[in-house]
Amino acid sequence: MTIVLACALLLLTAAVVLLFAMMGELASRTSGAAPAASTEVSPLEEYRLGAVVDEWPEPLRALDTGSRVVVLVLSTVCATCAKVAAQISGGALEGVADTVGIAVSCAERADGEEFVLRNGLADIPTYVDERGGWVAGSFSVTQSPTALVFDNGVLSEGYLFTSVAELLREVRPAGTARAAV
Amino acid sequence: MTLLNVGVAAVLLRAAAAKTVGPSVAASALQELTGGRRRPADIVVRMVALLEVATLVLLIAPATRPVGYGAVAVLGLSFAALGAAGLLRGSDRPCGCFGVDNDKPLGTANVITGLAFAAVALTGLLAGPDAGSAATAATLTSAVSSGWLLVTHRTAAATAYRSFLRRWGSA
Repeated sequence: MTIVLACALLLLTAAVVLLFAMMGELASRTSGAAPAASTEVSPLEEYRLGAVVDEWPEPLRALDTGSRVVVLVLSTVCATCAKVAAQISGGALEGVADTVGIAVSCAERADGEEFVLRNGLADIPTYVDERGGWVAGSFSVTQSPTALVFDNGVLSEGYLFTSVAELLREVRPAGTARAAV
Repeated sequence: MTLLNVGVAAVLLRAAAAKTVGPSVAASALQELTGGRRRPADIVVRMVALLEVATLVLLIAPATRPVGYGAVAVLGLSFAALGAAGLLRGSDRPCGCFGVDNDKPLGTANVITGLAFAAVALTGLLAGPDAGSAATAATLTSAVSSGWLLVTHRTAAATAYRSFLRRWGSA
C-alpha cells in the first residue's frame, strides 16, 4: 500500500513539473522552428490578429495615437515577467516610453498593483488587467511575457520575448529611431 | 546514499520535463556544438528525456538500482563531455540544461553536474543496492522536486499564497 501511495505521489509530482515545463518556466524560450539570430524574441502563435482596439484602458490611453505602439503583457505569476520588469525599471524603454505601455495580468487587482510597485513600474503607463480580461478577452492572449504591436489601433503582430532591448530592435515602435536601443 | 540518489532523480525529472516539452532549446545548443551542421531532430532530444526518466525509475527500485547507477554514470559522463565541448567551443546558446530557467550555455555547470552524477553512480555501485526502500526513494524524490519548484518559483508561490489568504479572509 505504501509503495502505491509513494508512486502515486511521484507521478503527481512529475505531472506538476511537466506542467511548469509546458508553461515555459523550466527553460529559456526559443522558437520551435529553426533558430533565428535571436533566441529572445519569437512570434506568438495564438492571438487575434487584426483585432481592433475599441477603447484603450484609461492608463494606456496615451497609446491611442494612430501610430505604431506596443503593449507588453506581463503576469504577476511568471518568473520571466519579473526579469522583464527589472529590465524596464532599469531604463530599457528609454526613448520609446511614449509608444510602449504595459498590461499586468493578475488574479486580483491587489496582486497587480503590488507587482507594479515591487518592480518599480509606477512611472510607466501600466494597466492592471484583472484576470487578464482585456488581453485575453480582446486579443486571445494567454501567455506572458508577450508583446502586442498595434498599427493604428489594429493588432498587427505578437511576440513572446525575454529581452526588452531585443524586442524593440525587432518591432521598432514609433520613436525607436531616436531611442538608443 | 538515499539522499544522493534522490538528488540525482530530482534533477533527472526536471531535465526530462524540460527536454520533453521544449526539445528545440537543447537541439539548438547541440547544433552549435557541431559547428552549425545538421540540427538534431526533436525526437532525439525526447529520447534522451525518456532515458532520463527510465534512469530515475531504475534508481528508485532497489532491485534495479545497480542498473540505474550504470545509466547515471553514462548520462553523467555524457553531460560532462558536452559541457567540456561547450567550453572548448565557447558555446553561447542557452541549452536549457537540467530544466533551469536561465540563458547559460553548455559549460562548467554541465561538467560539474556530470562528474557529480558519475561520482554518485560509482559510490552507489560500491555501496550496493541497499539505499532505502522504493517507497522512501519515491516519496523523497517527490518532496525534493516539489521543494525545488517552490524555491525557484517562490515569487509565484508567494503571490498564490497571498491570494489564497485574501480569499480565505473575505470568505
